[in-house]
Amino acid sequence: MSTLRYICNILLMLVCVALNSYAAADSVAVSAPDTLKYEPKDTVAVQYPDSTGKVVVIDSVMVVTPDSTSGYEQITKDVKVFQGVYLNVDIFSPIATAFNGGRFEFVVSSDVDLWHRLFPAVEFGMMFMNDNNDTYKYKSDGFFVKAGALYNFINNKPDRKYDHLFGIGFRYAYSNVNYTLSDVQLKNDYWKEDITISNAKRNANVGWLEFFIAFRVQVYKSFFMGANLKVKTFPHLYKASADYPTFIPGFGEYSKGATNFGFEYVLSYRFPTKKRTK
Amino acid sequence: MKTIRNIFIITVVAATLASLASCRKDCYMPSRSMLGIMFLDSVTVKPFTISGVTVQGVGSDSLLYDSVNVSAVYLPLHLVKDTTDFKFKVSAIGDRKEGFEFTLKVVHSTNPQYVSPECGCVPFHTIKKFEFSKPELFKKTELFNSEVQNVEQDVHIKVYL
Repeated sequence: MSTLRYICNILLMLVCVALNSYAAADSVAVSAPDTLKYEPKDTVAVQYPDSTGKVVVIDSVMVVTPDSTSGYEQITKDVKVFQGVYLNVDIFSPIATAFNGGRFEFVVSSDVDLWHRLFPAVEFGMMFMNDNNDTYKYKSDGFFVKAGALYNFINNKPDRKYDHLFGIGFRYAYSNVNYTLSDVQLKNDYWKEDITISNAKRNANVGWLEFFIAFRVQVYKSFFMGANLKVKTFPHLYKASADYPTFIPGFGEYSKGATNFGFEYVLSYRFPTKKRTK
Repeated sequence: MKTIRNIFIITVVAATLASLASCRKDCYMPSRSMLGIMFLDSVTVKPFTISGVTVQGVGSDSLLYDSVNVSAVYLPLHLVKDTTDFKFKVSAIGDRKEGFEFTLKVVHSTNPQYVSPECGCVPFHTIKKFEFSKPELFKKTELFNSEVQNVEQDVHIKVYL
């Protein structure tokens, strides 16, 4: 129930951030009129005789037509909402397979650039694990999907040179995992018992929340690289169970109330959409 | 542009090395699952200390508790059987000082659980049924939590005196 409350709060926060980001564009425009240059829209030459009879010529009268929007306002209102789609691949997780006991995981994601401030995103990934030990064999595989958004704090102006990004975001994640624990050797010193037992293949559905800081740097035209530092928390089994999967795809090591930290090193490609204004 | 790129690469490499270096190697979780029985005062519902408690598993020649004053006992369950019996000897329960002997029978199932790479596997038990040989000694007994897992001082059966 508390998890649901957290999700609702975060969704509400996201909507507020989105609305503020749009309103902020307008408010900046109003507060910075002194940087603008009015261009003459029409000029007329005026001639008239003065008191001595000489002809006076005035050739630089500027007629400014009143306009409700300044040039800057015009630019900000003309900023395109949709500014591109990114395809991202995490290359850290596959490399980490060499260090984490045979747990192979990969993640691909896509996010949409809105005003270069808000980036709704979806992620998909899979995990394959085969941990053979002297005292147990643990086999697990599954997939995960994540959905959420990121708010970017930098390079929001339409005349920016690069599309670097630095922001914070969140995801709600769901994972479906199958796991089998077999050939487990257990020992009880008091009862002087040794036993080797196995569990049947089991399935679990798990959800959790992620909060993260993201960096993304434009390295060459449409190619980017970035890093995400993630906190994964509030894991919850959809169906209460005494046993649980030890590793959740996309979450990592699971236990009740566990919080994990994650790192992603991401290579990104932005599908070309060069125009930032309408 | 190149400076930003270089800083970024260095940061990423450093973070990668740091995350790899911070891999855990020690087990910080309990590696045993124990059945917890707590004795409570039926009026105040607070822990009730009983005197001279001796507990022994039926079929074992070792004592789990030997004449101690406790308000809770933690007992290991069988791995290879689905029934575990314990013999209790109590010298006094509150004002009743005549000495008591009774047995506790616990019917359960056992499942292994892979806890973590550092801790390995731990047996988890599910209590299906329990029975005291002399229930008239207690005001009430209650199965509080049927899942016996690797949690320190977890209470599964509450006995009200």
